[in-house]
Amino acid sequence: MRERRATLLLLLLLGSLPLVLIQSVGSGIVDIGFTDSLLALAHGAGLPVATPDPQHQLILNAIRWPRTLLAALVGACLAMCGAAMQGLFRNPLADPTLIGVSSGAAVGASVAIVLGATLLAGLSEFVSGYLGGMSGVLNAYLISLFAFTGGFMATLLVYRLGTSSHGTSVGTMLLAGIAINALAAAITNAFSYVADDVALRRITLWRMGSLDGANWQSVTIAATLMTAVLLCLPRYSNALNALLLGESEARHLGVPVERVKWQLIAWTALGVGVAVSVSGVIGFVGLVVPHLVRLMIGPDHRSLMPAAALLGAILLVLADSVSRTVAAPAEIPIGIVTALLGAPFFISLLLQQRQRMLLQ
Amino acid sequence: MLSAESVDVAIGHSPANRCALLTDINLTVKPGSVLAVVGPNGAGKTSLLRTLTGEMTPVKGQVLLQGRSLSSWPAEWRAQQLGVLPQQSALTFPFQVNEVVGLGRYPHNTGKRRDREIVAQALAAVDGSHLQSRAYTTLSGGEKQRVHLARVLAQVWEKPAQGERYLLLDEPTSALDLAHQHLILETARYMARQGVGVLVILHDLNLAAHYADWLVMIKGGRLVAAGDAHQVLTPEHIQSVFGIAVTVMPHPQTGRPLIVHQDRSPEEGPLLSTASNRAN
Repeated sequence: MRERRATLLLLLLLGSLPLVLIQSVGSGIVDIGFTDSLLALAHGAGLPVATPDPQHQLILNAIRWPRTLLAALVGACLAMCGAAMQGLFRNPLADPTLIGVSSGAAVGASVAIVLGATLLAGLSEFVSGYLGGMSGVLNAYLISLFAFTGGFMATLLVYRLGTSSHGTSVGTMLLAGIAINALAAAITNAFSYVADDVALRRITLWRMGSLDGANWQSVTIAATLMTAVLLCLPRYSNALNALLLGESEARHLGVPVERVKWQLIAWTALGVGVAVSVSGVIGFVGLVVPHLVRLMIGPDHRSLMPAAALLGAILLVLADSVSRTVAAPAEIPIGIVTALLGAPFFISLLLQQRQRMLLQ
Repeated sequence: MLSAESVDVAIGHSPANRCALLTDINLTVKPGSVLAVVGPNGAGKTSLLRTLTGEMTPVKGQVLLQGRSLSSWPAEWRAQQLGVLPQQSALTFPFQVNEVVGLGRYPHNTGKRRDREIVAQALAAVDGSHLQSRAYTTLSGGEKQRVHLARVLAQVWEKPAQGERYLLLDEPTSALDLAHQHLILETARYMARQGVGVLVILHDLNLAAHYADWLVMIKGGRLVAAGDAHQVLTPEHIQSVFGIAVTVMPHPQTGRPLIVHQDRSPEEGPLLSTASNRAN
């Protein structure tokens, strides 16, 4: 029964995603509309349709599509990592932003931005002549690497602090998140202080979460790393299900618990790190999306993970659409949209929990 | 056979602050029989179970499974042989009952259809078929306990490629009503007759007397008595280990020991005055 519902949901989400994508590329300051965007896509695929408006084509190909695809990837990645993290911590409140992973990744990214700028500035003309074209890509990978390291260390720290053989302590986990968020804010503020104007704006936008600078370069980098995460995390579904019973029970079922824990930490840190490095700190996706999916089809990770990824992609693409249209011609950083929607949701989650506890 | 040989288990790193949990334990769980472990609270029964499953490592002695050291078995093969039911469960996510029982099939590669059959049979064995679509978090304590037992039964439902099957149950009847207590232990005995080696930790001495082929009595981490029900459940053993005076009479139907407590006369004062006797 539940399996059928899960399959239905997956099919529904899979079908909705392309529609949402096309709708999103069509919306914005220049309103291209659903049909025109669809036609432009068909034309680009070589189908015999009318040639679209060249200005529209330029906007779609250079700006809208990379941005929308990036939103989809980031949304999918954050949602799936959130689901994995909640399984790992055995707690539905574990969200990469709440427990400090995103800000840890942001610290790493800030370090890379500031260091990268100085590194490249210090290179001789000769070397940078060679690296010139590559330096953009290298720089971006460097930022992803540092973001991953920052996210990894943060996850590790929260895990070490919040988990013992008796299980995770939610309180300690969230407190650890507060501590890391504070530390990360301090370090990022320090970097902001010493950074030049260009770097400062980048850092600031990151903390708000923005898909503004999306181009095909950043999409390719994000795509390669995030696709790896999106393909590898679902393989831990069975182990995550078993882990929800408790660590020793999982061990009795033959799950290599220590190895799985480390690998999960690494994969989620990578996923969150890359997401942060290309789009800044986008909060609550990892909390809201898995929760919604669980409400609909239950906590079985075998369907939760792919469904969360699809729903996360759809929601973030919609949020991006909103961020571009609701206050046009101004663009609201997407992190603000997700926070405005996510925080009330989180509050309602807490109220539900409180009611449940009152009933017990 | 799953056996512990001269096993000492202790916690604490340096010899100075080491606390002995088990001392010189010799124990064998034979496939095809039920072994009951009884003893007062804190005697080391759960520590014994944890040592047999590999969760705790002995500081002396060894645990052998089919003649090989327990730790030398790869995790998946161990999981196909040892079904372990702990005292409490940490599961708080709203899985459906049949999904929880289905988790017991994790170590096996038998495919969805066979798994579903086994899940249904395991649930039926614990009188849980009517619960199968319920959310786990909405069940009562006793129902949850039965669901976990079904999960563990599903884990060792079929004979593995290598080795024998064992069921290690830590107080599986603690939250159950009278009828379900007997159902669960009948199921355990049935599994034993199918060739599974069953170890069950029990508080109720009468249940132990009725269902176990062998018993061990533990106090303070040491084996006080081992043997069949008549040898172990004597008034002398029970007095010295539990600190309570009992009368043992033959069960009218089975002839096995039936333990009945002796009512204390008012002059003797409260039972607590003998606490110092029990503490040793």
